[in-house]
Amino acid sequence: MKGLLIKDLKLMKVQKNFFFMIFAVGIGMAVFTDNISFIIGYISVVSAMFTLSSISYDEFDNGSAFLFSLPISRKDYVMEKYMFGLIISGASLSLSTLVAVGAAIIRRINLVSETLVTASGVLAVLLGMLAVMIPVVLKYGGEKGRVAIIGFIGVIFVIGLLAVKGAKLLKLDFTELAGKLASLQFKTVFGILIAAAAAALLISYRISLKIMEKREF
Amino acid sequence: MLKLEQVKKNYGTFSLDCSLEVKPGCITGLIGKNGAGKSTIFKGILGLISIEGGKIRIFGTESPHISAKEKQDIGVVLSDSGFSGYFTVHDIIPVMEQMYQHFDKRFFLEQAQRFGLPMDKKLKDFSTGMKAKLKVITAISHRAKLLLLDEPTSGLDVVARDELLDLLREFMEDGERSILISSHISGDLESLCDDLYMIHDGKILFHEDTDVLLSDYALLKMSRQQYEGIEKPYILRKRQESFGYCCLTNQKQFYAENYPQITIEKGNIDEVIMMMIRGERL
Repeated sequence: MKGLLIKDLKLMKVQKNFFFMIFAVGIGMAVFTDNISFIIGYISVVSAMFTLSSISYDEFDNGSAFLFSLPISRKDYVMEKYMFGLIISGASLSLSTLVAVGAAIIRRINLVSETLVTASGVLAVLLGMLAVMIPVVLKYGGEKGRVAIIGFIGVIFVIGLLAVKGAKLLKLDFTELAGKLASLQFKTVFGILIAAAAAALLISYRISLKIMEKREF
Repeated sequence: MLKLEQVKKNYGTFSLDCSLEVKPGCITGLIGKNGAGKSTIFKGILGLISIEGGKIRIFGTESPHISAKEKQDIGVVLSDSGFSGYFTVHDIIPVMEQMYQHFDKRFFLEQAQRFGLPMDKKLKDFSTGMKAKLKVITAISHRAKLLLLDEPTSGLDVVARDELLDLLREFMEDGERSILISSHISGDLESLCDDLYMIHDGKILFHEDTDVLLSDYALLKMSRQQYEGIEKPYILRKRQESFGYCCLTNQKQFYAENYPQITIEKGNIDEVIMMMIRGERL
């Protein structure tokens, strides 16, 4: 599996200018805009998307056939994609959170705790995205996968919208709710998120494995 | 080393039904035109496709799925697939080091240098010859016992083909290794292989030692009257021509001694293939 990780990191190196640009834009936003928390979501989601691109890279020019002639199993491959996704997500989330927290402290715009809660939320979205997208891209390939991610973002957006509407209908104060959430112990929020993400990723992994076991190259 | 027994696979109208064996220390050739089923055989052996019947035995072990451990001892060249075009030769090294227990980095670098492969150029910018050489070098750099080479010389000029075939001969100097190699260029296989399987429309048409093929097979050219008069136990195929008949035999000597009046042409592999595919059975 280490060999596969090295392969993906080498492929990522090909896109290094793209990643520098993403971080440059993120840092620019940290300096010039007030919405610092947005940086975390922006950098992390765009970076984590490379996990899906790495699958497209593998499939490009029928590369998968050769890849699976190397001494790896289909299980190794699926496991590596999840590991790679977690590594990229973890690294980009940590870096972007550092930038956002740094900016929050220096510019005294956001509270650090608020930024960390945002980071936890982004972590949940990232893991959810990986859990949904990896099996979709493994099954349908990169092109259809891109359509699926637009659908995924749309679904998240609709859920958010419905939650706000529902809250209004039930006369719930959403700001108060958000405030309560922010005031929750960080450990509690993080714990709930990790448990939910682990469950989603485990189910997703099993689905991906089934997909890969049936695939022919 | 490798044995396939009635391995079956269906794709729409194409149907593969194949048995073959690669013995230790031997280079076995698989020859057939494009679409005959050569790549399907390789993919079946490597578990890239599921087979619908039959048995595949590798290194004496029969298993429905080839394991990563068995693949450690197999070097592979696929005709239409390889490392990512965004890789350089340098990028391949750490991946191979992690993948194969016995990857010989020194040998790999020596061979890359010997064949003048640029180390920092992206593979997508390599010429066809460079790509083919890199694929073979990669396949032989981890002390494999068995090489599975699907069209390794495809698209190469004569000089590059010769260099690659030399590399494979060097690989075989060990004596214990084996190669299954496919090509639609018969000349490559004629000079390299110990035995040959000819595949057509998913079926093995015939199997023969290369020496026997080159020494005993021949084309007999004769008039209609001569054809009527000859004994035919050793005629494999016949084809009607403007001058009479052209027949393929696997007993050249028999007809040379008994029918000196008929024209006997030494059969090369291409002609044998043509006759086996297009000729008429008796």
